[in-house]
Amino acid sequence: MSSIAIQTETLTRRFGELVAVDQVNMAVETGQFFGFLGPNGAGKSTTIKMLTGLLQPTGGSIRILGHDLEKEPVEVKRRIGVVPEGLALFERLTGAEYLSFVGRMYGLDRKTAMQRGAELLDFMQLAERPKSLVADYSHGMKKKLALAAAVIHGPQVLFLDEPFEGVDAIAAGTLKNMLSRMVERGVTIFLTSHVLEIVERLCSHVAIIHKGGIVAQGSIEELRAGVEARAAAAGGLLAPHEEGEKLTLEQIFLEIVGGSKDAGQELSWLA
Amino acid sequence: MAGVAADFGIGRQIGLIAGLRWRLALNSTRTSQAKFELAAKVLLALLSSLVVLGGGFGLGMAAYFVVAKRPEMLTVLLLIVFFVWQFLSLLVGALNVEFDFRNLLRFPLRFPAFYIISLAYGLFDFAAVMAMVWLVFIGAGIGMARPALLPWTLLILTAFAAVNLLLNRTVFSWMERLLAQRGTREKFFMIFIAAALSIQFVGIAAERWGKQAVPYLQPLKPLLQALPPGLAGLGLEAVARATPLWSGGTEAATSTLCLAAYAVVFGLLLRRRLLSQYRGEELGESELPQTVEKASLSSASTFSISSLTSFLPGPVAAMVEKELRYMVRNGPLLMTLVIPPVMVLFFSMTWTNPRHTPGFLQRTPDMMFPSSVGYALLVLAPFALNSFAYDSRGIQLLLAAPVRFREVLLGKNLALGGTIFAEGLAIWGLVALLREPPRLATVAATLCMLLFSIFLNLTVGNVLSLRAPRAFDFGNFRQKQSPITVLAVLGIQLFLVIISVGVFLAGRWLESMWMAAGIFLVLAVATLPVYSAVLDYCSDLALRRRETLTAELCK
Repeated sequence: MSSIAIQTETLTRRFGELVAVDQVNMAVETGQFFGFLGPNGAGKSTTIKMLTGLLQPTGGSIRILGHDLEKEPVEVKRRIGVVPEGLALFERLTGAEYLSFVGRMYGLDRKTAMQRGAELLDFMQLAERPKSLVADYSHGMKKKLALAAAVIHGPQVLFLDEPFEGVDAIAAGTLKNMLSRMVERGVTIFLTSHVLEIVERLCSHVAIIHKGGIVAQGSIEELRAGVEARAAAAGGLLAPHEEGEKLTLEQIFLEIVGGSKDAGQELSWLA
Repeated sequence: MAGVAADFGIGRQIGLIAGLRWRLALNSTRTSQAKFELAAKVLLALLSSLVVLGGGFGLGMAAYFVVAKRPEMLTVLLLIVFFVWQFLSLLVGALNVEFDFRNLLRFPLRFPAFYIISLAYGLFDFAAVMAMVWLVFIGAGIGMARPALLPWTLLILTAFAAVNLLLNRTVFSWMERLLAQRGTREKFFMIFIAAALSIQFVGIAAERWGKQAVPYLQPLKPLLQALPPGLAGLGLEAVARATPLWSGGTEAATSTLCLAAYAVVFGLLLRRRLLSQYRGEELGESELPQTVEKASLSSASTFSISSLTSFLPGPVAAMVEKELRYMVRNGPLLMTLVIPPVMVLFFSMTWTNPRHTPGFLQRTPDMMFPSSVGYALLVLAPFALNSFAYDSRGIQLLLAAPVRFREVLLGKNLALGGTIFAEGLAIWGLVALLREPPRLATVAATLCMLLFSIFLNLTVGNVLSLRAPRAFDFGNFRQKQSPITVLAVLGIQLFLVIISVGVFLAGRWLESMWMAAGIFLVLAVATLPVYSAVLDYCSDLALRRRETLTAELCK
């Protein structure tokens, strides 16, 4: 099996004149918990949609576990799990029916799909309302169900677009534990999130996309070292932090994408 | 300096909203697909304007002729306008709840501006435009016949239009409250469809028992005259009959005042409703969680559906099961399935009406089965043309799953095709029960016609479902189809009606229904490879169109 789980070469996506993703080269090794960060509109969701086959790239190539997504889409899709931005739920099914449906769409037989669905519902604490339609689930419950659906076939690579958005602390804890255990078993997880504390805690490696291009990539330690070295070379203008304390991912992120530059700006007419 | 948003006039607020709507309309035509849809909309608008102008011309002519000799008939013309304004608008528009309209409330909008905007929504409704055009024609008809009546006509018809507008908006706003919850909405639509179906029988009942019923209906006449169309008609009748003209003025003025009183009452009711909305009334979907337990469909249907699909490949079987589950949980769709069998009952009464002079229907009892099946096809086949309508965001799963769209569409087609076929068999049972079993040759011809029609609808439908997808909301009976799909529905159904009627007539003429069956079978067999090729084509098309699919269905 290839040691590179996700690889993109000059991956590009244009929407008319707008270049949303510009020549992105990225490599995620098998078994990594990979965080994909960027400010709003930087191209995160566009990239993850292209990586999961939901959006056609304008240029470049994507290889997942050694398979070319363009040429072997079904082979790739069999090996990956996705929690897309819109959650991809069929809301007029019950949770169990939905998971059984997804399992069978991913090639499981009926019995296995139903059995795994029941286990997942139980694990995600969704088994209490077996006859409720997904439409009547809360947002957090829907997120958990979408994640359950993404893993029912035992994917080797998992793509998660903002999996913790709108999820309460208890559910988030359950999800984090499950994801960490998956990584321990060799699954590659590619995650986008705006909650940098979670990314810092879970991910070993990150890439930061800004204005469509990758501006930083590597382990969090590598990024931290890079930012500190750059700051030292520029005369020590780093985001304020205590002496001897490590830079947080948030500080690294702000240094890289330049968010701290505008912190002093004010709108005089605001109260 | 901190401050509050500046207060500005109602006129400017309304102007801003009008500008917003215009900007939204302009922005919605940016993509080439949207431009194509706009062209289709224009074409549909031209077709609709034929109905509007044709109907208006007819009513205008009627007004022209009745005003001199039978002015009491003006009430009938106004009744038609009244029914179109109040009921057609309900059919076309009310079933789509206007949440976007209330979104305006986040802005510091004054209540009078909110009220006026609500009325403006009513003015631009298709049924309202049609009714107003018809009123103009009626007014023109009366004015051309007797120019001296024009001032009174203008006054009375304006008051009548105002009452209609206010009543319509009042009903809309109360309906909106009623339909805000999904469960209530579905129940309402089921009642609504049942009522619409029962109207079909009014004609038959009137024909059979109309004369006997007249004495019982007489006491209702004053009630009718007290309603807005009756009042407006009475006013117009009074001035039309008066000689000299001014002698009818008192009655006309009384009618106008009564209409004004109606307008005030409806205006106040509307004000009350809108005031609640203005003050932040929550009209969400929140209600007790809906379970499938109530419908007792889950476990029972799971078993039967599973056994139905056990011979199919996994993903196709999963799609069929999902589609069937969606069908049984979609109230309005279920009601649509009920319509054709009810129409069989209707046909059977028409076919056997002893008062009819023996017409085509009486002379051709054998045609009842194919006619009923044809009707079922007209009602159900359009579902094939937008087959992802209810999938909503689930489309992302279908795109992300390791299956070709050939399998996805095959599953959907099997579910719909099977349902239509089952409907055909149910109709056969009903016809056999209510009349007599159709001849074997007729059954064979009808089933082959059904097969051909299903294949054709599915072939075109699969392409259209990917090319012009539209998301539908559960619980809404009337949904906004893509104009391209609407035109396609018209085209395909017209084509099928012409072919089917032609083949059946030829079969009757040559007294060989087996020949008709043969022709339909050849057509069905000829369509099959095209259908199969289109399924393959759709696998690639879905990948090419995945952005449009997700953009449209995930809205």
